[in-house]
Amino acid sequence: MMVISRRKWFFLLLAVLLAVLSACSSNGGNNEATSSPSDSQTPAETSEAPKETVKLKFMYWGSTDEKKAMEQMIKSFNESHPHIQVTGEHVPGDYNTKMNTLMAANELPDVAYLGDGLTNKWGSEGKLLDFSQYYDKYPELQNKLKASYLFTEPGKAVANFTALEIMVLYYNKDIFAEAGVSLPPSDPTQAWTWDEFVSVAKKLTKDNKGRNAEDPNFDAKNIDTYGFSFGTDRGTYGPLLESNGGGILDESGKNYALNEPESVEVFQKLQDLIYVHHVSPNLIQQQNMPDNHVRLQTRKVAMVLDGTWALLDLTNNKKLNYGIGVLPKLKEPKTVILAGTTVVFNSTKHPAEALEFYLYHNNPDQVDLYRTGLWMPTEEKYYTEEAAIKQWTDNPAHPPEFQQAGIAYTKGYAVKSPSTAIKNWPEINSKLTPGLDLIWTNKKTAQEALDELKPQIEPLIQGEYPNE
Amino acid sequence: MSRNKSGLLKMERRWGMLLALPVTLGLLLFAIGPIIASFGFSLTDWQIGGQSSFVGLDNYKTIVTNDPVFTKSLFVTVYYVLATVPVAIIAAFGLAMLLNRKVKGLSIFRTIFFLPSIVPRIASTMLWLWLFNPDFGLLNSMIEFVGLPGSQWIYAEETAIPSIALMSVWGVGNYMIIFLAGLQSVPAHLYEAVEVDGGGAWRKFYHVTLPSMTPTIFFNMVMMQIGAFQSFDSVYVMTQGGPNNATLLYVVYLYRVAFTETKIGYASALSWILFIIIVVLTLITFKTSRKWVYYEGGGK
Amino acid sequence: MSRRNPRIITYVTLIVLSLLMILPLIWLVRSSLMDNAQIFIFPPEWVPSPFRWSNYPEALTAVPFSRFFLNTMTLELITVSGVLVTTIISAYTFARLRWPGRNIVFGVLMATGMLPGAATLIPMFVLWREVGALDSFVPLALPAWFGAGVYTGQGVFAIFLMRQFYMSIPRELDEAAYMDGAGPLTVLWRVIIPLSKPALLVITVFSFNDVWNQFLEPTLYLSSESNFTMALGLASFKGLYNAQWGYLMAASATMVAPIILLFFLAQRYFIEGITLTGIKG
Repeated sequence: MMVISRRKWFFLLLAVLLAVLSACSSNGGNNEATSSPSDSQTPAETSEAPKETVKLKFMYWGSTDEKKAMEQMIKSFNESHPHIQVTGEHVPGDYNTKMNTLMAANELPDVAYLGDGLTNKWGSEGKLLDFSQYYDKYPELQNKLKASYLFTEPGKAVANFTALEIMVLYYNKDIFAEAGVSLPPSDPTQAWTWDEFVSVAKKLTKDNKGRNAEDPNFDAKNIDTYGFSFGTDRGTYGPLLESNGGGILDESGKNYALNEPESVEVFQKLQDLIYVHHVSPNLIQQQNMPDNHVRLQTRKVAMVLDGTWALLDLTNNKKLNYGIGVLPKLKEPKTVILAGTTVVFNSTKHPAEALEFYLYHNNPDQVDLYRTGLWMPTEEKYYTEEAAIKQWTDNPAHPPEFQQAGIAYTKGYAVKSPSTAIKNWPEINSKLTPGLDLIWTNKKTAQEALDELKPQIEPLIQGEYPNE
Repeated sequence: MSRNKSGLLKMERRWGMLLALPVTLGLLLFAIGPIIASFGFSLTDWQIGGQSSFVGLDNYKTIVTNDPVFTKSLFVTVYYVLATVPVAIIAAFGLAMLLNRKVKGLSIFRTIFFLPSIVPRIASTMLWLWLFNPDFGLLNSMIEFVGLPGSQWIYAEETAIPSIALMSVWGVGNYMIIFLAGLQSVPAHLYEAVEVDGGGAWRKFYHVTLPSMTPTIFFNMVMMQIGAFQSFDSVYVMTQGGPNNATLLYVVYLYRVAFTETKIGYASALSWILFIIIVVLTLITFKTSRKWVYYEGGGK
Repeated sequence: MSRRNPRIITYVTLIVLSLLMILPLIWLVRSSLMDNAQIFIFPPEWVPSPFRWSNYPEALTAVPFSRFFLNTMTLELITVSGVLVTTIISAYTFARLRWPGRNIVFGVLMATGMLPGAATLIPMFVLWREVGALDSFVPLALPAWFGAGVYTGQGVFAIFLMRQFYMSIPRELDEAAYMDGAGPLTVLWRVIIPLSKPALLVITVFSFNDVWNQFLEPTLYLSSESNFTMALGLASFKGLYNAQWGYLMAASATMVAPIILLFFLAQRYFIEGITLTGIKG
């Protein structure tokens, strides 16, 4: 008898549990009913029935600032487009894993942020909407800077950078003033040569007794302020390769070119900054240093190489008196554009509405991320028309020299990061990074390390994507 | 109302299967399907977002014969497991013994020792990045204070894995707690027996504590082994496998292949190879356990 | 005299080790009171100047943390109770009851914990999509009721841990109870559970902690912000190009406090275990 009642108790518990769980799930379902993908995919709601409200899902990531700006944008879009209802889905952390899972499970949103590697890959697999089919209907789609499009086949634009970002030189003005050294040029045509740059960096590098790197008694083991610090990824070597006429692949896009003289020179020069001139922290010290704005503020470093997105943090750091300059040149003054994209997935049932939202989502009139310094616009007029330039740069996040080092630099000297056009880049990069570590840790010379990489990289080369 | 032996067996059988029902259902519903699916993937060249076709055992062949990164990451992982598990077992057991005494402030000490396991990983990795800093880090400051040369820690190929192992040993609070719980189950009468015989602390430890703790030691060994082979988070955040793949733990490599290179077929094959390695090692541990694990309740 | 020395050594060891263990918490708390710049100053500063108390209210209102807290607690309640019920009965059947196929089921169960989670991520996701459970707590909580949670404190490993504990309880205790006519559930309830309280507490604390910090699965399965957990809220302070470290640390500190309290309360019962075992054994 006792046993039976116990058994009943067990099943009762199980029943209660299932009830609770289903209640929770239906609760969750209710909250989400408006954006559930199965809703938006019911056959009744196709774009051929314009009276029906079209539901779209937009997936993105970013800090809470960015999220706030996006929510604001989505809200005003929904208000001004009563027939379209966009639900924003902000993904905190591990975006890539989620995106991959959604792609594998065919559970995609309509519009989403995406890294350049996945954009290329999925674009060439036909998973992304080809904008060129819609140029007639939405001519604004063509107004962006040419370098901001990603093409998988000639004329087939599968994505546009969400915002533009280029690599520039930031510096602490006070350190320059104290050392009596003239500031880095902001005019691209006046860009420092490498030797000029190294000599300035030496003057700014100070050991713990206040001697600079040109002093014969300079103590390289106890450096208080470094002249320059750089990251070890494509953001650093990319623009310098461009400037020196080198590249990861050769012109044909079919051969490994990092062990060609122009490329080797770039890596050797960077290695020398650390181990010969002692003006840059080594890989170890570098990885351990705080964010760039803090490095500059706390005088660990006088100049840094970083993207334009850093303007937001630099401006917010009120204790820092910073300036922007162009990168030193090797042959030609050059920088690269390095940014994530926004895409429309081909699986969307409402491509027209998705594009309408697409054009709205990074429109500087609607999003407040340009004036804070985080984003640069992708549309051409914001670099050419005086009023439009003023609209996003007339504020504390864009100091006067930005007109040259930001706008003129982008307009005349910025190219799309070559890595963005290389097919199979994610896989190539995961072989490249460990090999380059040998240069950054001074285990090999640039020539040796880059020669050794050749047989590892070559089998992975699949050519390049077109530039238009 | 007494029962005979066959009645007891019948009852055990009936109840045994009934009580195993939830777990069995769980296996059928949530485990077997995805596991078979992942094995299926491993036989294809599927890349996420692309077409996939059946390639048989090609992925496995490539991994074993023609993937130097796999070899390296396996080596790194085995090194890490060997550097972590024995030290961590001893450390966790030692700490538990320390915290099983009647000392003042015991509850506070116990809580403090468990802290590394509960502080969000983002805080603890940032802390360790600082501890490991060759220039300003606490570890080098202490070492250099004693007059020894400092280390490059996670930033040099030679010292990277030992450093990561050190960090893992620091976080043994979880295992310490399990040991602590195990120590509570050591029957007190056994200690009394040793005391009656005039045995001291060492004899109590060697003849009572250690044998009674073998089931817990065994559990922690198996768990640490599995956990160390699948270790991932901290390294992924701190070094991303560098420098020069010196900290490329197996699962870090697996994630890189699956979600950066999107080669899910190949990644599934990698998973299955790790799976087989862990299963074999665990089986060996289980087999040898018969020789040294002592169950008060009468063995398996 | 000779008895005092080991005591002192014990205390010194404990205090030195404690300092090492408490460092991350101190680091967390001091960072939670700083601005972005001060957190990263090298060499590090330990005392915030000025104390930015405002990090706390600002962080906790920047995202709807009270909603996230409720969600997390709901998830905790469903998951932890599931883990406890399933672990208790499954470990019991694996450790104590004899039935055909027992070792096979246990072996398969153990094996499921050995395949890296990354391998089954996608098939699991497809499974939950097929039953229409995306964006709900079902994929996060239901497996725990069937011993299928993947975390240390849930599923397989909780069952394995419990089994180890049950196996070290003398069998004579069960047999005596059976002789008195008790059924297995009575034995479990009256004999086994009281003797394995410390282990049950361990499992409770571990699974609570796991759910609390669980990150990857909620990221995958939850999409509406109204369903988010606190761990997801925490992650939203980190962006692509920048992070609000002060907020992140303040929110982390707030999140870790309940766990510390829970553990502090739970560990006191580890003492109780000794006396119980002493009497019964």
